[in-house]
Amino acid sequence: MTIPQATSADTVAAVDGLQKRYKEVHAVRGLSFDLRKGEIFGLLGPNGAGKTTTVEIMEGLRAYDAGSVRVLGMDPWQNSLALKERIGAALQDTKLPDKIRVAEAMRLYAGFYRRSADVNALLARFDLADKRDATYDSLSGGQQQRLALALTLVNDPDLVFLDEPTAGLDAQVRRDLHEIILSLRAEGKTVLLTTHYIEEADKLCDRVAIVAAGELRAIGTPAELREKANRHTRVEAGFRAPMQAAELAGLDGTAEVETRDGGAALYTRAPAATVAALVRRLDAVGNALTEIAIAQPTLEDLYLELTGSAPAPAREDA
Amino acid sequence: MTTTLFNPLRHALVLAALSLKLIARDRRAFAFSLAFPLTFTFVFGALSRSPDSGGVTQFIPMLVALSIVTGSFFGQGMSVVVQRERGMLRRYRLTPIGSASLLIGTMLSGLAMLAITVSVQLALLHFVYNAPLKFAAAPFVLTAVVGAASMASLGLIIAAITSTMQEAQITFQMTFLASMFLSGIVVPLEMYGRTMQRVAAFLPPTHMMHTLRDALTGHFSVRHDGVPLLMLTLMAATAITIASRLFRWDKDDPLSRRAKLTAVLALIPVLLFGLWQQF
Repeated sequence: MTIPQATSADTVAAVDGLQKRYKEVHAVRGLSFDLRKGEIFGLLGPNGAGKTTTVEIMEGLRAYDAGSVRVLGMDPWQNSLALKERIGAALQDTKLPDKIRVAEAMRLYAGFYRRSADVNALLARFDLADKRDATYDSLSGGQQQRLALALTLVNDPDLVFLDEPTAGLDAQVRRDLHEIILSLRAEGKTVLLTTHYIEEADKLCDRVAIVAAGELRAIGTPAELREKANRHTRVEAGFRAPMQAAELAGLDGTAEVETRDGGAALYTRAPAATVAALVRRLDAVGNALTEIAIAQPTLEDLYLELTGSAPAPAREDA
Repeated sequence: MTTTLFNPLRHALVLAALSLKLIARDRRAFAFSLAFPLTFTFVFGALSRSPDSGGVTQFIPMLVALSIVTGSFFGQGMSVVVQRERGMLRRYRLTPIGSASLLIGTMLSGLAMLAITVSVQLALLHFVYNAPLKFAAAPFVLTAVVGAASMASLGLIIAAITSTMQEAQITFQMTFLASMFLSGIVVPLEMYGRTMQRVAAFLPPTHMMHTLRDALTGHFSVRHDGVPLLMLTLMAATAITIASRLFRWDKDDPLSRRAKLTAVLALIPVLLFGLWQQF
């Protein structure tokens, strides 16, 4: 695989040939990618893919075994404290003391940095202004997660790491958080987002790296990745009179034909030509279309192909 | 803006203040942290009313030592284990505060709680049980502070080498009982044989108890208590060094070989001093 390397002056972070082992487990195997200024970059992969380990290495929380990592021009492990001044990070599951108050937590964390953002403005932005005196244990899950995200911005960071920020949250809260994440990009901040929700990566990310078993399987914009999917466009057709697969063989662009319930699914790389040929074929045999639908290959198709595992379903009902 | 040099201390003070605020805000936690020492105060106070007890004064050093060991060793060590288990330390780790700030902050809040506890205990003993308080204030405060620092550091070492709450609790209970019985806090050292007394000389609570007893009964002298106080200080410095080297933000963090080696090397001065003292 050809891996895009960090060559641009706008490169905020570059990971090259990263390796990390935990005793017998080879968690990260030669991962390479770069982050560009002002983008939302997604690390997409199933549980155990090495996403969190990679992020923790980039945050300076873990040492790495081989390869090179530069974040904001620094080696995260060697320059851990200096790097932390300039990054913001939200863990998969942020925990604060039960009795700490919202504004108190914001001021506490802001006090750890040389540069700090306006705490009151952040509280207002994250819709927590009316909860400023509430204790952490009295907040709902969504409010706790909003506070966790607000804490990542108390030092006005250049680079924000969000590790599974919406995992386990209900649909409305996830939508709210998506808006907040998109607003970070609008402010010119660079965001590294890990997720196992495909639609989240598709909606939010400028570029996505699909990882599995510690390896990079694909990288590119969501549109580029969809094009990389080694799948054909599926043309679903219904007929006035049932057709046999043999009667539909050889249509322009068609790679495979499946017939079911009197209709057919045609897999093609040239959907327009296939549809035109299908209409001609039906005319020739005195048949006609009753319905037709065209399904483009999705990011999920590529994900399935590369990781061999089904993506996490979006929690619309939670 | 505070300079970088003072940031670790400033962070430690902020964390200590927060910790005290959180304890004060959580009534159950506050009551629990005072319940144990106050119970002992009433028990020893009641015992001292027996005609054969020798009066309440002789119980004061034991009570104070118990408060230091339970509050600093057990209390602060377990506090770090709980914070680590709940993932709160991982959040701190993402900020530029170092482990030193966290450890110092923990110890400072523990010292403040200890000051409150011991003050309440002494006031109770004085006003309820008529205990005369004619102690040497400076040696008493110095011994209590250094003793608390050494006990807190030992607690933080146990917090660092254990990975789960259960493991930590068992280790704390075993070590707590050993330090109670081997250091002369519960059973006078004179009752033990020579070998046990030599073993006891390597335990911080032994020196703390020795100096506390003299400071609280008006018998403190540099000649008699200087060496135990020096030994206690050396042990505290050693324990702090080891605790900071072994500190783990996350239970999944491995203890590095370098950290273990530093811990072993840090023990050498204490061992040499202890051996010199005895032979």
